[in-house]
Amino acid sequence: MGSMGNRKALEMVRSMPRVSFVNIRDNPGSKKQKKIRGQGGSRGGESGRGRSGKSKRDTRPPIGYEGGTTPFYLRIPMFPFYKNFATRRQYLPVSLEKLQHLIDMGRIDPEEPIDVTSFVHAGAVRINVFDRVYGIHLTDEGADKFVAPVNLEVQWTSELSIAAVERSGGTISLGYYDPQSLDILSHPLQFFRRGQPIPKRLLPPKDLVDMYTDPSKRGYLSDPNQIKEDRLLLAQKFGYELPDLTKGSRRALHRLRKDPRQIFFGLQPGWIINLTDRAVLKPVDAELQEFYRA
Amino acid sequence: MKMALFARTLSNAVSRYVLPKYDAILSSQLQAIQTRSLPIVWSSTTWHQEFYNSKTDLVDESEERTKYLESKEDFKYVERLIPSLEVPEPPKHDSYPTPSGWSPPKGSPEGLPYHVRRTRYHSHPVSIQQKHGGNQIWTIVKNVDGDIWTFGDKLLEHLEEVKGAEVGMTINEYAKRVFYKGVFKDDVIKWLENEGF
Repeated sequence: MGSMGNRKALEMVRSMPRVSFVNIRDNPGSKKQKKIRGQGGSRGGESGRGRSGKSKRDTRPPIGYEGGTTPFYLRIPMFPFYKNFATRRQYLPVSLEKLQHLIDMGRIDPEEPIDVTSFVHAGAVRINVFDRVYGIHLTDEGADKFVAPVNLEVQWTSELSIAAVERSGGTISLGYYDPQSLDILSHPLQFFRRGQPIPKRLLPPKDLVDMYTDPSKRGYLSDPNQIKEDRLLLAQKFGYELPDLTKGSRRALHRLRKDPRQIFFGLQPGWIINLTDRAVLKPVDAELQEFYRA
Repeated sequence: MKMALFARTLSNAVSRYVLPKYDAILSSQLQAIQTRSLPIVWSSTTWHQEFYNSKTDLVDESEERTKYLESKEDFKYVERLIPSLEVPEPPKHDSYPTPSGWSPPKGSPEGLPYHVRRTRYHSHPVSIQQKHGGNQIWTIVKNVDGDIWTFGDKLLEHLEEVKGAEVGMTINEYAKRVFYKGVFKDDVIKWLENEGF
């Protein structure tokens, strides 16, 4: 179909040989010719370095030299903006609004406990422990819209988000995962394929112990009785009625907590997963059991 | 030493690792991944530590292997941890919009020359594009089937009313996209919901 010109062009193309390196050429102007060091326009002989001078003799002053005055980079005093930058911990943000959206869309199940794995499988975050990511930071954007009663475990949060979660009849706790455990938690299937026993989750380092033992931050190592008191205080502070979690169909869900040495719910350290035969293998030896329970 | 033996007892069992049910989904999803229509939630971390060092932890085959218990009931905890490769259908809510502000498409009236499909995550195909450090901001509407020119003009009329001044528009008919110069994401989404998309 088309004009005579198109039809003729198509007939021509049909009769032409196959396209290969032999009958292909770059568009004019697409490739610029490299500078020639030999007898080019300037008659050569200088190896591209020009006539006598400091540029030819490699005696130029260092970068930043200002002809004798104190250079800018020496005038300004040093400030350690990036000191210990590579060792700083990152917590990837997920807002309460996002969490509510994921629950509404069915990508996160509120009837199951929610942890890092749920967020990764829902596509909310991508965790790479080699970027010094230590978990998830629950931000308080969308705290007014949040209504889902959930059992939530994150690694960093604020007072307002704790209040928002507890007001809607949920529980929130802060749990520490060392980089290896976090990697396993974020990509469980990849880990199960290795055939390695589930390792023990390590305890938090010194500078994080205060946070994870603090009941006001709902740390997983803090006293549950103190958490109970703090829930009441928070409800009074923000002015909402604290729902009773001991009653209702979700009672069992809200009681679920991981052991400090446990990475996955229902699976203990030391167990090996056999994906082919759909089985879980548990060591019987007393020494091994003692090691994994320590 | 014992841990090395423990691992060696399973070396045969773990050589083939893919679940049969998962395998069937995987082959079809691999095709989809190539056409970039599904979320890829796996990362390429490499925490491959050697479980035992073959040079230093020599295993004596004559020694008795450690015993283990096999449990099929506990595998349900593993099944929970295997991700679904498909985007789930949103559950039915009692009322719309949901607490996060989402509502399903109402259905556009018959005879409309255009139609705007939802994304694979069931949301509106409206996004913001920033170029040149934020000096150039465009609102993009994708997935416009049918008469894209009529659609572009109609929405342009509405956005110019909202802004109170002229709004720049570009239409990419082949890619089924319309670009509006400025930040109009919320206005466009409201307009699309009113139209029934």
